[in-house]
Amino acid sequence: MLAMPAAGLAAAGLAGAAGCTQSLPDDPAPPPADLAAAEAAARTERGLLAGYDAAIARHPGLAGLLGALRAHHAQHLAALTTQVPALAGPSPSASATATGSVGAATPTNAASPGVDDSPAARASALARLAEAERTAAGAHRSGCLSTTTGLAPLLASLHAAESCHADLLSLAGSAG
Amino acid sequence: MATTGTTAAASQPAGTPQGTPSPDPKAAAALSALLAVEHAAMYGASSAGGALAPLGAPARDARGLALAAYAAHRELRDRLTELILDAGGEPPAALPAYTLPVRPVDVQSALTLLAELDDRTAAAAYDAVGAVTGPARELVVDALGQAALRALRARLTAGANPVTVLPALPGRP
Repeated sequence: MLAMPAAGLAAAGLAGAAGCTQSLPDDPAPPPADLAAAEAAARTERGLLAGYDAAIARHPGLAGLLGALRAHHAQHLAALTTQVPALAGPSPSASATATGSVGAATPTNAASPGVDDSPAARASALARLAEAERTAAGAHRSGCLSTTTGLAPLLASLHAAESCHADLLSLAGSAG
Repeated sequence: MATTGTTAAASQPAGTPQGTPSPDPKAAAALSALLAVEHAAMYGASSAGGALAPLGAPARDARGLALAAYAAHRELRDRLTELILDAGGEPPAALPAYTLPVRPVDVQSALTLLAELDDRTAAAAYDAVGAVTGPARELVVDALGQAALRALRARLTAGANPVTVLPALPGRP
């Protein structure tokens, strides 16, 4: 009874590809708006990487989930650099200043930077990272809206990814 | 009447500074491709909900997800239809039936179906987002984000491992 139009879901999905007009990696230099959006997105990703590194070092009990999400951010940065090769060039780690605010290196309890796998410390780390992911999701969304066509799909995907990360971290935090 | 969800979007002056929409065949084509996927998603979400309906308390969470997914896909369908008309296009109609990627016969398969439907929405949004601007791009980027979230929740509800459940780049082939 479901054997009616075989056009089906698969065909609809394929049709979607017709609207795909993203730029190829070997495009010439991107327009300035795209380069600025890509640089901002790369800074966001580096900040998140630093935040995850600090949280993983401090809360080894969270390494499974956080390590997986950190790997996503490494992929995000790689995807940005593949699409906008200019990013790989002059990006000094001066962005680390901006990244510190992600909240990794500033434990609210001002305790030693050592390992702390207490439930309270883990919950607060998860909450901080979730907030950082939400902020990043918003930033990628803004970037997607301001960029020209080439970078929009990647930034939209990054927006979705960080939204999902925030959701997972919040769920992990509330699960204790 | 003017307060119902579907008519609210007709009050255009809020979002569009240019007032009169101009024909944009590229945008209309991209949005139409996404709309075709949404028609199928509504059919699939409805099938999932129907399969879950008699399954009682153990299926409650899944039923909630099916209902929410149906509502979200319907809302996206309606918004896309308006935007395609604004862009001078002709919105594609739904087909009478679709071949489902998963046959929903129990809670697990219904959740798998819901997740796969939203994977397809995410992929179609990814394909469309670069072809549109302004309010249409906002709609499409949010559609990608929300589809990814729904797929995540469906998989978690089905018992997926949180560490491996997510793709790094939702919607991207």
